[in-house]
Amino acid sequence: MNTDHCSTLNIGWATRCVTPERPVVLGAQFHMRISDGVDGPVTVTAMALSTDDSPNSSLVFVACDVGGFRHKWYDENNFLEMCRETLRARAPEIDVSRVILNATHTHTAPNTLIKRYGEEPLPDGVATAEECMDVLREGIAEAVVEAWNNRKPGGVSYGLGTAVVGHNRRATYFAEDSSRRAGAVVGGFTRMYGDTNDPTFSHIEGYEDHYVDLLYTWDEESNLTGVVVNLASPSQETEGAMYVSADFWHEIREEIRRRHGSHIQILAQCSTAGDQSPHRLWYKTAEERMLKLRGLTMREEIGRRVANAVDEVLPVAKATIETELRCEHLVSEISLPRRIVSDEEAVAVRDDLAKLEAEARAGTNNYRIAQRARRVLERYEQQKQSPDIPMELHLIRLGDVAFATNRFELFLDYGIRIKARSPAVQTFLVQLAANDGWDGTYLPSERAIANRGYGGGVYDNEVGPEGGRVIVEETVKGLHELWSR
Amino acid sequence: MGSINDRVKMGWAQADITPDQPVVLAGQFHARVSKGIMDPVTATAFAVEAFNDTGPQGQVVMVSCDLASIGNELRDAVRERIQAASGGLDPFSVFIGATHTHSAPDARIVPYGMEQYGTEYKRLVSDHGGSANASRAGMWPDIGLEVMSPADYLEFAVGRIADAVLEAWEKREPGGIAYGLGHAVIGRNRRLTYRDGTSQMYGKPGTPEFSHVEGYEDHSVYAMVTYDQDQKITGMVVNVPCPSQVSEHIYQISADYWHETRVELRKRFGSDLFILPQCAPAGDQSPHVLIGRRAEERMWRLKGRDTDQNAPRQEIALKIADAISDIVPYAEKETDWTPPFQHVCETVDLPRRMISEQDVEDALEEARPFREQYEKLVAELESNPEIRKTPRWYTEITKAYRRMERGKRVRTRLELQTANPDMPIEVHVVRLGDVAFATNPFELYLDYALRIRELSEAAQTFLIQKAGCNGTYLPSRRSIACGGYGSVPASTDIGPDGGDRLVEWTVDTINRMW
Repeated sequence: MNTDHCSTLNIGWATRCVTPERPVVLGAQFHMRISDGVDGPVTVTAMALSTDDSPNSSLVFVACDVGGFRHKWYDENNFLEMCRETLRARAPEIDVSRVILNATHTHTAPNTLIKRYGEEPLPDGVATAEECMDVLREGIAEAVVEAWNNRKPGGVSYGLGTAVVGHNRRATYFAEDSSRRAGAVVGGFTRMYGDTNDPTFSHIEGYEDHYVDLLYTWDEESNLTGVVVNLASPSQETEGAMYVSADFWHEIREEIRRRHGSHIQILAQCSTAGDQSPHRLWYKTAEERMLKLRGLTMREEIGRRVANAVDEVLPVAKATIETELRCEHLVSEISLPRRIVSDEEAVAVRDDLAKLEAEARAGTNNYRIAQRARRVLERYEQQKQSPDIPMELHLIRLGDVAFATNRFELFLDYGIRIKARSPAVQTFLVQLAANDGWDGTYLPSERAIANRGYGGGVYDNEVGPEGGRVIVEETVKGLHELWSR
Repeated sequence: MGSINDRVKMGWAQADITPDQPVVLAGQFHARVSKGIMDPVTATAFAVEAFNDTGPQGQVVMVSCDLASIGNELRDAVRERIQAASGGLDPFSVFIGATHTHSAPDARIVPYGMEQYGTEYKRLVSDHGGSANASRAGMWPDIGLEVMSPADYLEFAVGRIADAVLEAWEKREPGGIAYGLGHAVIGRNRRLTYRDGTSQMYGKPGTPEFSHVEGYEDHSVYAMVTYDQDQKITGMVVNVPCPSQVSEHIYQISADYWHETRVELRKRFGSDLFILPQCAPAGDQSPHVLIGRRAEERMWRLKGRDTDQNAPRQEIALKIADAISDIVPYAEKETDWTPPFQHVCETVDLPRRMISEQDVEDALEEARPFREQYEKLVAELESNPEIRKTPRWYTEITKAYRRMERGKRVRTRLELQTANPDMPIEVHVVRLGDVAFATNPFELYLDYALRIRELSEAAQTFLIQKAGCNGTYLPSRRSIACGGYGSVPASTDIGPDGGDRLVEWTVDTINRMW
């Protein structure tokens, strides 16, 4: 590695608990759930990195146990800007443009999206979306300021482990499923979480990535202070539960801390995993049997596997600590072509919306589904004026390691393309990075579009493969620029 | 079918099948004359006999060989020796699978692809004017390679394998089994798909044209552990969906990563441990890392692995051993001392992949430059025999020969397929406790394995590929659509229709046992 431009690293960590003290509405599912308890805290963890000599080197990653970052629908959403405003007011010395929020994509975090499930008042004692949003925003601000302020000289090292956590969740069949639900096109050859114990099951649609990218941080005495754990799976093992939970990240944190000390900070990053999930579509019986024999839940098992990966790489990491290295952080805005809603699709969606509104008048609470249909029609109009939507792209070089963000549930194929073409030895991809406007939709691969099914249809994607390819090219181009300097 | 046994006896044996002379190593288009032995190649036999108070109720001997493939001639020769021996072992109770190493002696003697047409091939080929006599040189041209011929090696290996089978059979003792599932990231899908919709085996991913990894990967490790009546571990069946091909280009005899795996497992579980390695369906899999190679190589280097050649083998061995170590303490909580047992061996007709005149033209066109090159090289060799003194003089001529013959074979298939539209294959299904074992002779693409496993009612289904007839690739539908080596007609005798039939038969047979 060219050692020019290497500078002393300063590293700071902080964590805040953002678990509400009252019942909340849990986000991320189509139906409303009011929490009936807490199974491990939901937290935000900030890692601040900077070097002495360049403001362009600073970065603050904030990993959040949330489903996504929204407080209002669609283009009205400016949760990221609200967080940055709070930070500007509290700590003007922090370059807020270099603060990156990423969601672990748990489906058991408090909902922060106002009117997600309609406008009916919540039962007494249940925290509103606004309250949950304020708790989250406050937690993020406090964590970022604390991490920034407690930066000290230290070192980092990195390595590659493996852990079988994420599984491709799209099962492809020989026969096309023509079933269709108003507000959520689900027909096609692929079904998300389709049954593989079916004679018409053909194959798992896509790929899986069982690498774990690890970045360790150390103090000046070479004591471990924290680890960035990046893996290709959203934290959704218990996604249908009725309790507040960080899902498997709780168990990962617990297990790493049990082995290395309760002071160890863990920054959770979900790599490109739009078509991934911890749910097993196959060998379920064998896996369940092993869990029973081990006396573990699947979340505990995931915690064990990831902690094993951390431990396997740790000796290598301890022997390769770098305290001076090149650190650069590029922030840019790129334009992504929208996934165009065709005239035919608009007609079909209008019909869907009409049916949904009729159902609603008859008493069905289908607000969430109906909003999806309204959004498609809104996009149909918007695309005539603005065919592109923006995405904030963060590219970071830290020695021989790269980080690259995107705002979507990006299907794995794009992540593999980036990793294969990246100049870095290891490339940590971070999906569901907060962006203002509508964020967090699926960005499906070409093969997912061809196979359709949930995740690959007009309701699910603001941006399609054309935009996915732009993300790949811009990311690869930007990384090569960073490496050629 | 119900279980009629109430206990089993099990026996183990291993034989060294490493030759003491140079051989041609199987696995590449070009010949490689072996220079020395990196590590021994072995055959391992695991015998099971089920019985109750009235006597024996079923039997199987599962054999695994560190070879590239198992031909019917090898299997049949082993059975002949078993038939000649006494002891109550039915030769058709024996099935033999290959680990699919690419650094083992070539034991194929039948003219390229002819045995794919089953027992009728000699008549069919003779009727079409060909010679059906097995050649002692097997797949290779008769150009004076100074080696133990494939036929001679076959005879040597057959003797050793048969001895191992009979020894395992003789050593049967009452015992129990345990089984479990672990994980290890070993097999990688080796077919990369590009933006134009085509796939390439071992393609380059670091280009703008690269789109995605064509298929799936399976990072499970299935293990069955056997115990004697003192509850001591006697052996393990280790089933991994990945051929042993890390060192597939070397010029030394080697069992590839199974050698390191055996060493590591014996370090952990005892030097007298028997290990039966099984390659699960992995036609589109390989241990070669295509995505993440630089990061992996860095890790191997930093972990102090020996050399680039052996580093991934050591890594794989440790991963498998870690997976097994993670399974055994839990699996043995449910050791089964009275596992139900059944064994079905049948010949199943699979519809051949029917090829067209266009397929033949394409294959011959692809082979044409190799034919020209072969003829030129033969002429050069005849006019200048001194060429044989050049190191590895045979490389280009043998590659040209094999590529030429591959094209001609497609022509022969077209001529024969009308009279013989189905390919008869021998398939075994075994029930042992809550586990099913099922064989197939192909390099079966992973998609089929998932279908079998998911439809199977067994708690775990151990699938074994490369068990007979020197089977070639059996590609998935999506790989056929993408083309490329491993899915084009020249590479594949059986296509998705045959794959579907294999799935259907295997699942039906397993489920009738439950």
